[in-house]
Amino acid sequence: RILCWVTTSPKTHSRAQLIKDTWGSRCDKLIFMSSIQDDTLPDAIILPTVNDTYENLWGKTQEALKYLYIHHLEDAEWFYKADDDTYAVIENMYYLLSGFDASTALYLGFKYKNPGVRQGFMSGGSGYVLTKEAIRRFVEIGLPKLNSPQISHNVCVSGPKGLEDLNLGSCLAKLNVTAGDSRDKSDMERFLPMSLENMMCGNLNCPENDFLQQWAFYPLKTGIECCSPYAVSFHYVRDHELKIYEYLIYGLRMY
Amino acid sequence: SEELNKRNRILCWIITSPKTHSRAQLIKQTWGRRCDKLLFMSSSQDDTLPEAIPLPVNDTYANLWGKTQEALKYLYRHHLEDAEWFYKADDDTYAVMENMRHLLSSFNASSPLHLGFKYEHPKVRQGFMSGGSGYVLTKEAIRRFVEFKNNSTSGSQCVLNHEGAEDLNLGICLEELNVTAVDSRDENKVERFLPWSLEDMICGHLKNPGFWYLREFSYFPLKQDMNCCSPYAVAFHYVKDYQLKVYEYLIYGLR
Repeated sequence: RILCWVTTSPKTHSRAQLIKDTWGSRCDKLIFMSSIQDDTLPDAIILPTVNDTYENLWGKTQEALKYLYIHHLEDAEWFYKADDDTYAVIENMYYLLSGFDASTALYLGFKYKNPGVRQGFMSGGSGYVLTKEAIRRFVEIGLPKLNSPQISHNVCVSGPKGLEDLNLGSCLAKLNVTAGDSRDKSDMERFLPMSLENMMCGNLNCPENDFLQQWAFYPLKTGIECCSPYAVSFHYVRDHELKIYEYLIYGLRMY
Repeated sequence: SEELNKRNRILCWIITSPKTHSRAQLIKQTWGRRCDKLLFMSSSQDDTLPEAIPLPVNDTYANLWGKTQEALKYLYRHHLEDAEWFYKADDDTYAVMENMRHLLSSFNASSPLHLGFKYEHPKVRQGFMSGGSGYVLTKEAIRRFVEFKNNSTSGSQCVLNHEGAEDLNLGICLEELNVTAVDSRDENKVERFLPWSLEDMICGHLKNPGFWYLREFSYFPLKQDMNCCSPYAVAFHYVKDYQLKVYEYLIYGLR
């Protein structure tokens, strides 16, 4: 089973509704993590964060994982985190995950390399999937516990600030959670961190791709080879585009 | 069967201009290669598009009607035997050729026919086809138009100077020539040629004041949101540049 948790915030609650109307309904369970409940999203889970800003995203992620640990660990085997400008193809997600053992300590996503994390870390933007065991280790061992004087140092970076995906990756590595390879049999990426337009941008100069080329863990292809036919996640799909993807992927038929 | 395919060949002629020859390349790399023949009608040839057919016109939007007449004359002179169906598209269009073939297979290629998204207008009782979303003409329709043009009589409403709305004028002329403007909607009466961007059609933007023309003059009742667009849609308009590759991937690449 896959539990999808979508990070959203009051300014973009309308996107959450669009996710509910499109790919979100294909998750076994769908949860929206925000900082306020309102009429647009009355079922948002309120996380106790100080400020719902990009700088505090690491803090929000820690709170979200704690929340999942306390309330939802038995509701699924896999826990997929997405931003509210993501379009996921859940059938392809099942297919990807069926090749892995859900009882291990594992996490999957688009892998970046980093001198501080030998096994690499997963891009936050394109979303990642954690097993139950990965979340358990993170919350029970990794998270700083203010009330435990025995712990003289923190496994994970404490405080709400810092790069969410790098901090998570660094922490999970220390907890012996494996950063898996989610590419398909032809070594094409399934989690796509940049907009499809940028990923397709082959021969012409797309400056955004320089960063990707430099830091991607595995060699990256451009143009139509960039992206697996079994892709699971597209980033920077906003608002109306969610419905367009839904129509092009599920609505349109080929005669 | 081979024979069937021979009798239903589609020649795609794309209206482009020197400023957007790069889009023509993208069409060649994506849906254009699924046409039996692909031609680019422009006003000059250059390195980006050496095979562009340079029509003798002033290449502006106001002169689109003139350009269309020249294009039809060119097709009549050089390509009438190359296909049964002649599909016109702008260079910001994405067509789904398999669905196009399926649509056309239920019509008689030897009749004088015009297919597309139909608008109504007091000057054209049977309605006319939107230029933007593209339209298909049979060989006989082109023959009648060009031969009439050469021998036009007085009392005709069919105006041939270079200015004027291309689609409306073509519709007026074709009606006088007894070319039928057919209903190309699917079995559920949903449109297959889509005149506005998918975004506008799916997201209910058509209720906005800017779309008054579409609301007032669409020949058949317009549907919106997720019901707007046939699962067997044949063409999407306003798909620009790298979005062409994104559609190609989402429609043909993704499984």
